Amino acid sequence: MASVVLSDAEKLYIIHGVQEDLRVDGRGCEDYRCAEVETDVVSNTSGSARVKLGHTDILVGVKAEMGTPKLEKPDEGYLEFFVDCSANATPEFEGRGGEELGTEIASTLYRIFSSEGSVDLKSLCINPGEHCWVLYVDVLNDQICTTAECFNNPSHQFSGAWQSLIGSKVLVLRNHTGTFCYQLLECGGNLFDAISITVKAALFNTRIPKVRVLEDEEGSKEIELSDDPYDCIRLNVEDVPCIVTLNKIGYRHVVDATLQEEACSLASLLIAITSKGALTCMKKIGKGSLDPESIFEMMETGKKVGKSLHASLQKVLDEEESLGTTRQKVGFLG
Amino acid sequence: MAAVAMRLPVIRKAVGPSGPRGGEKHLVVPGDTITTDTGYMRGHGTYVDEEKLVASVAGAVERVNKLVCVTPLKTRYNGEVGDIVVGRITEVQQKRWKVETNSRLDSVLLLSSMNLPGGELRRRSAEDELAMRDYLQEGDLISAEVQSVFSDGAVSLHTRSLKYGKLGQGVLVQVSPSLVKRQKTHFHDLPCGASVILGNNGFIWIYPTPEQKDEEAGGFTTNLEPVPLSDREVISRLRNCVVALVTQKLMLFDTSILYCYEASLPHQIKDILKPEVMEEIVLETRQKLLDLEG
Amino acid sequence: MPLDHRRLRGPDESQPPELWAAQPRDGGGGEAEESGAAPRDPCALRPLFARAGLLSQAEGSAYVELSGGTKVLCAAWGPREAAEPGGAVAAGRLLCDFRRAPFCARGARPRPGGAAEREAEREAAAALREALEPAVRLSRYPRARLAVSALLLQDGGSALAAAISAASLALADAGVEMYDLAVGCALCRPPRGDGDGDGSAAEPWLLQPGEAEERGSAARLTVALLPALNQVSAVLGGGRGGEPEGWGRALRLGVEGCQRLYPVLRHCLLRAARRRDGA
Repeated sequence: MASVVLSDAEKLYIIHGVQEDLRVDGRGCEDYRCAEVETDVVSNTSGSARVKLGHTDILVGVKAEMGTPKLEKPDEGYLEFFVDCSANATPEFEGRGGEELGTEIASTLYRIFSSEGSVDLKSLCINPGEHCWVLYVDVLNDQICTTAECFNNPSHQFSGAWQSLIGSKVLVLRNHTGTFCYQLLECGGNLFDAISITVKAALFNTRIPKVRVLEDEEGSKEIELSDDPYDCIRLNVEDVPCIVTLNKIGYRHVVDATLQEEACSLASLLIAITSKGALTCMKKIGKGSLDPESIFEMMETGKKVGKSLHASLQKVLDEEESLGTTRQKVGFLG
Repeated sequence: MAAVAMRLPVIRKAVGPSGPRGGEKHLVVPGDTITTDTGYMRGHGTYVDEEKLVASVAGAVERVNKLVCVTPLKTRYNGEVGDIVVGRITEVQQKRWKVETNSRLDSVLLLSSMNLPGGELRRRSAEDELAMRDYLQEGDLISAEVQSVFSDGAVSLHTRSLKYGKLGQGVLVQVSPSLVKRQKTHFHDLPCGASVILGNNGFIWIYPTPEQKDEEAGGFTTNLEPVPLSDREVISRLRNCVVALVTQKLMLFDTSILYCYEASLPHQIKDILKPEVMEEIVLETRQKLLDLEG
Repeated sequence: MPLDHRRLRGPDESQPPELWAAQPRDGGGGEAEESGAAPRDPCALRPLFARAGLLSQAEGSAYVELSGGTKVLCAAWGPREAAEPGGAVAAGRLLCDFRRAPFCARGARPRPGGAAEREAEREAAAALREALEPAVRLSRYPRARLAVSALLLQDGGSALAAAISAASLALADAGVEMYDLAVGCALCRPPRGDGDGDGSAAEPWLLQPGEAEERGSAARLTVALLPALNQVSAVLGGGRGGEPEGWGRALRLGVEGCQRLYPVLRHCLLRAARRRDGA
């Protein structure tokens, strides 16, 4: 993962702070940064969502396409994940370029969603063995701008100049992702959690058109797409898990670590928790090892935090839906 | 208790710049013709095309007599002699350190332009050269003064004063250099119980106020004792205040930070970063600053 | 002469015969399997056979076989000068590679180099690296790289766990400085009933599952332990395993399993050293 270099004294300061349950930005060990969630931000998708967690900014688009079911599971559709982290593909980060990070995140997502019951894959089947829905979930990481990336990307600076220059006036130029970086060091951290939240929000937002399979006398099949845009299937995302990453710092662990805190942590435990508190995936990441006892503690914290994470996410999603079209979309202008 | 706050994004208007009032600035984008009068001299951020003076960066036009410059409002740090900067060591080389200071090129700190432990006027020996990494290694933060600027814009630093040197425990916030107000001093011991270094290069260092200024150490011994919780709270609050000020594009200097700190006191430290709280306290700060101006 | 492999590969859409044969008997066959597995002691470990230092070309090597058919061959090389120096003080790097022989698994032969296959191998390689990194004293090898490659010859279940054990044996055999050996152990949780498994009943986690048990499982977990330090160096699991408490019990069981496997690996290394001493 993109890393920042810190001096020993800075690391010590962070570690002592975690010990005292007061982190650099004033949070306690189990607090998340303030997150902003908005769905339906890109129009050419079946569903999309954008989440800003601190300065980690994730955009997910879901596109539903028709395909043939997999041989082993003829009566189920499937999900495909693609994670683009090319923004931080700078060679100086220990050879772990963006592509490698992207595949790591994608494989984690596959692992989570391969577990039965996270999404009702049977509802994605159109007719067994022949047609099913394939959901392409594309994760775009708008801004894991490490310091170097900001420096190398003139478009960031340019658009930033306009923002500060014109402020609230009419013309606001932005680069393609619509983001820029003021506090270079503020960016990033906790990519996995942010991505899983966004994926869940995007799947909640996904609407798949209804299709009917018509069979004529000769047995040849024809597929008819419903004309009514409101005639669609929605996914039940109740059991879609969210990832909670617990970073071990000193003798304690924190959730939602910033990039600086990640630099102080040798090992972290990534767990996927459903809204009911069931654990569907766990994985140790990082160079270090963990004490068995601390793993148990981390799982407990993860469950607790994960549940409140789901609760607040669902609240926001419901709120947005209840507001319907009366709410003005912020999109990339916020 | 775990706190997870999620919300829908809201379109927010910037509180507005706090910069010097008095007329709109003349703003240009690259390619805009500034003047067709041939009597002007071409400065930074402009070029001459068919006898017209054209802007090459987006920013505000500034005229000094016959010289026309365009200063981009967001830019990397352009070093000037005498500036106070905070920087991070990126490389240890022969007799010099490379320092990241948010300028276009890495800055250098020569072994000969720093105080070594054991007195100011000690000769640099070969041992010193071998022990360079013991003084400063990759990742370490330093405060320094700009000694000279090379023709290519690279900056040479020195730490030949006891107030400069290696930084110990504390928090770094990186902001745009244009938001740091130039002042007589950039080292402030704030009355709220912490100190800040406002680097001209946009690196803000917030640290606990040292008990006594240790004279002989030359800034190389770092205090690794845990910082007490009360100091930590002040530092975290200050950090979030700086972030709030920068997000709303208010200039950073001791008074603005202090006012913002005072305005933030009714709120919990972690709540300062919530957009609406940020807006509220920055507005309050601005009002106080305007009152001060009279 | 370089061959154009694209021309030589089999038909695009070939299917293994098991796919058709298994289906009609699926219900009955599955149950029979399950009832056959029922008497198995969940805490029983499959006999493990390990041998270090068997490849002459590699600096260190190890072979681990679990009775029931998992066969892993591991080789370790290094330290060598790293190709891209990561700064002057950068610690050494551990490169891990995990390959599955095309014929290692039952059923369809995966297309070597196919996207899914590559993905699975890469994930296993990453897991291998995560498991080994804490065990190796990388700070003792600045600017160097160490390489470990594991070849899975036959997948009879618990393959990653066996690969972790084999790889740490190979590293130790190569004379690489290590804090401890990394011992891997796998677990799986067979689907019992349709409930989400609230874990109220005796936890049905099985240690070191075989291939059939693994295939039918609801959840799986691989644990790697550094036994002397009592530190967990890898946890990788997923599936419907229920509440964290259940997973916690599984973890504890896995750690216990690793501790029981440790003497076997230790003994294997000592034997290899003795053999070398004698030679």
